[in-house]
Order: sequence, then C-alpha cells, then structure tokens
Amino acid sequence: MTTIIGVDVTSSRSRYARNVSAAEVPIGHDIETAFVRGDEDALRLAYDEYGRLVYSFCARSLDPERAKDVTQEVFLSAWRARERYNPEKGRLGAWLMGIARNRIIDNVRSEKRHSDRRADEDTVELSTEAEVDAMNDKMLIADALRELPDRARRVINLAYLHDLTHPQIAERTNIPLGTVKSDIRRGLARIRRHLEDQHD
Amino acid sequence: MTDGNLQLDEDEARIDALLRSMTDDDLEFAAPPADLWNDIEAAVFADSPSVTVGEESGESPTNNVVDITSRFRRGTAFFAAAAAAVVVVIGALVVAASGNDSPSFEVVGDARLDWQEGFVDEGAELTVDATILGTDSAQAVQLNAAALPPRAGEDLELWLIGIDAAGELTISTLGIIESDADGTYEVPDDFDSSAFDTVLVDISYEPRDGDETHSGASIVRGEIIDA
Repeated sequence: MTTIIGVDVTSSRSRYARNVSAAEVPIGHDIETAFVRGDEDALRLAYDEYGRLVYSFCARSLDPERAKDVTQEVFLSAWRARERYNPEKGRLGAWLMGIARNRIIDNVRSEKRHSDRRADEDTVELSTEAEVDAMNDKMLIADALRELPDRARRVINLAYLHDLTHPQIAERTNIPLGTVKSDIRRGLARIRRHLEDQHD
Repeated sequence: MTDGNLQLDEDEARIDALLRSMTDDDLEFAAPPADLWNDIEAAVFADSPSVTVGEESGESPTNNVVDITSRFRRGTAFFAAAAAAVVVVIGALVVAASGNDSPSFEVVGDARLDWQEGFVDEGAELTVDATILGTDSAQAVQLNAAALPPRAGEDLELWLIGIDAAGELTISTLGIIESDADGTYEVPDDFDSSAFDTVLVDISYEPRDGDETHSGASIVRGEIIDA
C-alpha cells in the first residue's frame, strides 16, 4: 500500500493523459466584467465576494429558512438578468443588494399580511419598505466601512457607533485632531459614494 | 445635476443618522449556510441542462494538445467557454447530489488524502477527504472542506494517478484548484479509472514555469476506494 501510494510521479516512465481544463479557476479579471460576460465562474466569484453581505441582509429581515431561499433567488435572478447589469452604474454588490431589497420586501409583506389580516395594507407596506431600506443602507454602510483603511474605520466607529467627540477620539487613539476630522470627512464621502452606487 | 447639492445634503444626513443608529453587531456579517452554494449551482445547471462538454467547448475532439498553463493564466474567451462547459457537468452532478427528480449520478468511491514520506512539509498535518462522483458519462472528484496552505508564486493542482497491472503510471490533471477549495472537479473523459488496478488522488504545488507535468512536490495523496 505505502509503496503504491508513494509512486514517483516525476519518473520518466509516467504517461500523461490529455489535459482538460479545470472546473474552478480564477480568471484573474474583475468580477463585474466576468459577470456581465457570463463566465460561469463569475457567479462563484460574486458569491464569494457578496454572499455574506446578501445573506446577512436577508437574515436580518427574514427567518433563517427564508433568508437562505431569498439569497439563492437573488444570486439566481441576478445571474439570469446579468445582461441588464451595467458595471459603469455601480458595483455588483450594490446591484445584488437592490435585488435583495425587493425580494425581502415582497417576503416581509406577505408574512405580515398573513400574520395580521386586519392590518391596513398601506400602512404595512410603508413601514416595511422604510425598515428594509434602512437595513439595506446600514448593510451597505457596514460593507463600505470594511473597505476603509483601518485608521479611518476605527475613527468613524468611535465617532458614530460609540458616540465619542472628535477630541475624545484624538485623545484615546493618539491620532492628531486634524487627522481625526479629515479621516471622518473622507470616510463619510467614501461611504456616500458606496451608497450612491445603488441609488443611481 | 441641478439639485446635486441638496441631494448630497440629504444623503449626508441620512448616512449620519444611520451610522449613529448602528452598533458593532451591524458590522458583523453572517456566513451563508454551507450548502447554499450547491443549491445555486444546481439551479444554474437546471437553466441549461442540455449543454454537454463537447458541444460547448468549441474545441474539436481531436484537438488534444492544449497548453494548459497558458490557457489558465491568460483567461481568454476560449478558456471561459471551456470553463463554462465543465461547470455545466458539475452542475449536473450537483443536481443529482441534491436529490433532483432525475438522479443520474452516484458516489462511486472515496479517498482519504494524507501526507506521505518525501512529500512537502506543508502537508504534514493535512488530511483531505475526496468523494468520487460518477454519472453514465462523466466522473468528478469532490474535495471536502479542504483548506490547503497556499505557496506564493505557485499553484495548487489536483491530479489522478492511475497505476496499471504492470506498474505503469498514467497521470492526469484535474486542473488548478484554490487553496480554500471544497469544490468539484471533473475527471478528463479520456482518463478511464477502470483501466487501472489503483487510482490515486494527489494534490501538488506547481511552479508557474510552463511545465505542465507534475512537479513532484506532492502535498497529500490517497488511494480511491471503490464504493
């Protein structure tokens, strides 16, 4: 057994069967272009990149089983409609989140109608949309924060999520006050661009 | 663009308010269930089930001499078509695996890949489980939750090594794999497992030197045991 398993594959006696392409190989260009072109592994790349974002969005608005189903629907319908995606108009992640938003709203509405038949439908729909939109934007903000440089992310985190004043942040982090302010200003601008990708 | 400033101000106010309403929990993203990707892959296959490898690749069946390394690394349109074809086959296998109405595949074997004496150090603590899936016309090797240590400037490559009664080796690549791959890789259709006494699954490091033969730098290897 050991002798067989330890065969020397570099031996000149080795014969090679015809080489066939691999199933899963990164193509090495950006996901957006590959996605529109329909490269099969582009869907996998998109899933690797945005699966957590889309699934987390769904999981915060729906029960786990539905969250899984809707995430699958989002990637499938995006793939089927990939020709409609225009990379120049925004990032693929924002486009996927837009699809997720609509699917989640449909699901939440039908859940709410089902659970409370007496509810005024118009009210239900308004509150649902507002809640899901807010969650959508929060997720995109969280996604944008992940892409900020470490220092800017930390400073914005302290300023907004932890309500520290700029001087408090400067004191706690030993970052000059002017840098704190400019990190926040530039960071917010990047977050805004991140969200604008979807709103265009 | 005329109301651009107003729009920006509204956006700023909204971002400001949202950021203040967020907590550290909002920054944590949950991983999707592990089987979700397989479901997606299966559904993509269901969209175009009639496509087969030979038809889609655009490659003449007799055109056997393919420079595998240049094709992978240049990412040409031809490669994309070939990759598309292969994924379709894998989709077929996955559909069957997830209990579709027309199950046409079965588990035909499995292998436990371990480090062996003389292999590279990176594999010393590694064990990779592989499942061999078969349909009437195709086979694939599915690597299960394999986390493989990457090497800078080198690729990970998956191989089958057939050993016949006379001890002659036939080696076939299943292609470059990713270090976090728990993927499914099609067996080339001219590699006939039944022609060998023993078939080994092997994962190696391959320098990007244009030499498409096995480098000898094996990480783990295991024998396929028929199911």
